[in-house]
Amino acid sequence: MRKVLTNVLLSLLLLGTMGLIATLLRPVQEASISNMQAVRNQGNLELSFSVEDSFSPKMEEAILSGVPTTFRFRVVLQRKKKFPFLRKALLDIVLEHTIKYDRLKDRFRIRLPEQSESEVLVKDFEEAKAVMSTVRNLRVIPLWRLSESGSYQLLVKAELSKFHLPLFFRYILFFISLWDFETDWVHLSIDL
Amino acid sequence: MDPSSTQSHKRKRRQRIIWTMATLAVIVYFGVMEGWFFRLESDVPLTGNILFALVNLNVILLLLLTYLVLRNIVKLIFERKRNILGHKLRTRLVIAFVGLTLIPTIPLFWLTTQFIFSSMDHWFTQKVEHSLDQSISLMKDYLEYEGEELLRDSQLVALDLLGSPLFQSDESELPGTIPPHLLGQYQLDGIYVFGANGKLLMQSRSSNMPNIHARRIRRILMNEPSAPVIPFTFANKREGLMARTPIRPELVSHPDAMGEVVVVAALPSSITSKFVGITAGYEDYLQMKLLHQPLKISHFITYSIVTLLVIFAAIWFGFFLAKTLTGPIQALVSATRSVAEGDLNVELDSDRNDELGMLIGSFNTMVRDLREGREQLANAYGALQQSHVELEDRRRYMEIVLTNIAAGVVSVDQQGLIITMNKSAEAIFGVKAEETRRQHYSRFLQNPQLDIVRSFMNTHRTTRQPYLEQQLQVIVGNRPMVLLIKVSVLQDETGSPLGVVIVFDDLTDLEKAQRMAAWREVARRIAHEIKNPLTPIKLCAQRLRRKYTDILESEDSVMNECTDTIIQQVDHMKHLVNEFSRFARLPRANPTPCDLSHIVRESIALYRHNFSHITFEVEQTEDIPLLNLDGDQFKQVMINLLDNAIHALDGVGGTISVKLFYDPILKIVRLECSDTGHGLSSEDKLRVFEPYYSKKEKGTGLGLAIVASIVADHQGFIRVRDNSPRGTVFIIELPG
Repeated sequence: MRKVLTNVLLSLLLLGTMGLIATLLRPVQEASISNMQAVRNQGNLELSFSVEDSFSPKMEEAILSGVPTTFRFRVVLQRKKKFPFLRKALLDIVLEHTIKYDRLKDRFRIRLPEQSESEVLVKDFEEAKAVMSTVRNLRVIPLWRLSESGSYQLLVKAELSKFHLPLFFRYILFFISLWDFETDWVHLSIDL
Repeated sequence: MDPSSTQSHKRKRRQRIIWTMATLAVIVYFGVMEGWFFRLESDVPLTGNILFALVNLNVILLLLLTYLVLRNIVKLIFERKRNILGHKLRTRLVIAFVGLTLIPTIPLFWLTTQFIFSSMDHWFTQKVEHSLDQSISLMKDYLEYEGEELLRDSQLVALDLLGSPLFQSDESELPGTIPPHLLGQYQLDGIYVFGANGKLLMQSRSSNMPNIHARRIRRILMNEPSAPVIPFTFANKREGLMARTPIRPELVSHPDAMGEVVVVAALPSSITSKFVGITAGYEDYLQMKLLHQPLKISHFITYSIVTLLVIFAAIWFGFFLAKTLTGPIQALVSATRSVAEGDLNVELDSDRNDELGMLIGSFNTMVRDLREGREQLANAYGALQQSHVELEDRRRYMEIVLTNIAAGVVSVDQQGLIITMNKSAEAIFGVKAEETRRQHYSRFLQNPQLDIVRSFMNTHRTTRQPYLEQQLQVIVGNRPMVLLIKVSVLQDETGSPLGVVIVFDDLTDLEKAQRMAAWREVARRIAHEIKNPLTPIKLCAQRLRRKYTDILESEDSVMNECTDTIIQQVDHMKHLVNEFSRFARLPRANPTPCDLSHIVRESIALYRHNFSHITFEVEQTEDIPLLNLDGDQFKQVMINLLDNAIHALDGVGGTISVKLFYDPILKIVRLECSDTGHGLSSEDKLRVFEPYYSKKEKGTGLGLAIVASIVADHQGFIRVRDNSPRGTVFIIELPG
């Protein structure tokens, strides 16, 4: 009996320690999605939104130090149902914005896969941040695929995807979540 | 070895191996997963928590090791508290391992972290940063210089092109051509002339220029409309510069020509690659500087983990080693205790090939030998026990035989101390065996008896015979006895004397019976032979008296006197013969329940009045039971005893007393008839019950013989002893 009690106490102690570590290392940055709107354009449903407070000072410093940084945006389109667990995603898109500071040219190189010009060079950092955190006119789905009487819901979420640490640091920074961020899911109802 | 314990041992071992393999597999798996996430840049959507969970699973495994170590430490503490066998050695081993691990690890940890921290601090000194910054400035200055040169070239090219018909003729068609010598003249790689609407009017490219489309040049220009010099990258990653010079409207007559002249120059690869290298180095530096503090923390944590891993591994190894050492030792101690407590069915299980395995093997061999020895000992003991039991049975049997044998047996050692005495001997000598044990025989013998002993000893000395036998009449206590005494001298195998065994056969009753039988035969013959002639003799004497009456009537007649004497003596002889005849042919007893005390009182009453000078006393207890007696015969017994007692008083006064007792234990009635007469000599006492043995002048000597015969017929017993202070006592014992 005493042996079992000892094992239980030790297990609880370990779990408590792990919980404490998890709490300490949890990302504290609170980013959010704003200006989310969906419009019909040329037979497509297009989505625009921007992410607020996604850049922390440390992250900015890192970008200016030449660290390539990628934001991941996830867009899910699903038909509205009475019961949430019955909803089935019609679409699940993931797109990534990557920013890299080109010191030689003193410009920010931003990859925007949703635009025809996939890479843009921006000289101003504030402008670069705005471009990085904004998704404009993302073609979500052709309208013909949606039912006229249907009621749909768009869910959007943004997070820091990759933070390309130099050399071998990616292997040793096990415990540092750095300047990670992750927004909550944002819902947008669409009634056609 | 117990097969079930072997199977259990194997099963546990197999489970341990499986667990170890599974743990290793999990560690490898999560290690690979971590590498995959960080190095291969997978597209798996990551969240901070998932990343954290995956990355730190290794930490969980480390914590698992910590848990195991803590668990073992707690166990050790409990074992220490409970004083469980082996905890001291285990504690010492663990402390030794921890000590041996901590002594190098802690200084090494401290030195390493300090070294790394100081190295990192050294990396990020101002000097290094300043140098790198200067390099970047130099690079930028170079680019700026090149850009200014290119801008000047673009202006010169624009001036050269202004003289061409393209810009001066209103009718000239666009696009036109650029003189080819301009590229070589200004060492340019490309010249582009864009119209006001961004349309390409003219272009000229050197063959060495990397491929770049005019539309891309236009996009770059539009992206930065106000910049005169714009750096860009060719498709083949080669760096280049473009400079623009607007064409002023007053200089051209053609409205579409109011655009700009753009010249393009590719930077030398050798320089741009160096630029890229310098930039990358500077960025790395900046990034590392940015990560300076986290890196320190990370290093510290990493080294801490490694240090803890080493310490915990050492502790665990200490526990493991302690377990491998103390386990067998503990088992050995436990087994030794079991052996000490007598359990020899102990066998230790070991598959070790080291010294401990040899020790356990030797222990098992030793215990096996001990077990076999004990089994042999037990068998020998069993055999011994059996023989002892047999001997004991035999001894008891002999003792029972000796106890129940009719003959008295007495053994005496060389010093004359009595060793054994059986019950018959106790009865003969009237002493208890316990009282005589280890006592000298002379303490229990009187002078006449000691004389007998001496005579035996003399005979042995003379004849050296180991066995002597002699029938003797002895007085034991106050009882005359006829004993057949057999003396055996005991000797050991070397002939040394060990003592003597004396066997006493009590022949008193036998001899008495033989005498009685002989006397009865004599009496019968006498009665037969003498009685027949007595009647004719008496008749003849009476006939003589009748025939010779006249002679008889004369005074002093001899005839009368003689015949009268003949007739008297014949009558006397007849009486004598009748007595003999009655003795020889005593009627068979006819016992009926009788009151013995009544018979005694009746008999005494017959004498009390006739012998007034004699005092008759009767004493009895109240519990005399009725006895199965022939009343007439016992009246005869009393009369004969009282006659005998009166005669013993020799006509003078005295006391005759009769006592009656009942012994409820022995269930016998004892009758003692005593007188205060002259008493009997020892010989008289021996022969007093013999027929025709009498000290009286006219006694037939049959009175006491008849008494003894009647008492014997009633399964009784009669004996005689001296009365105190004088006289004789006849004792009759009858079964009650």
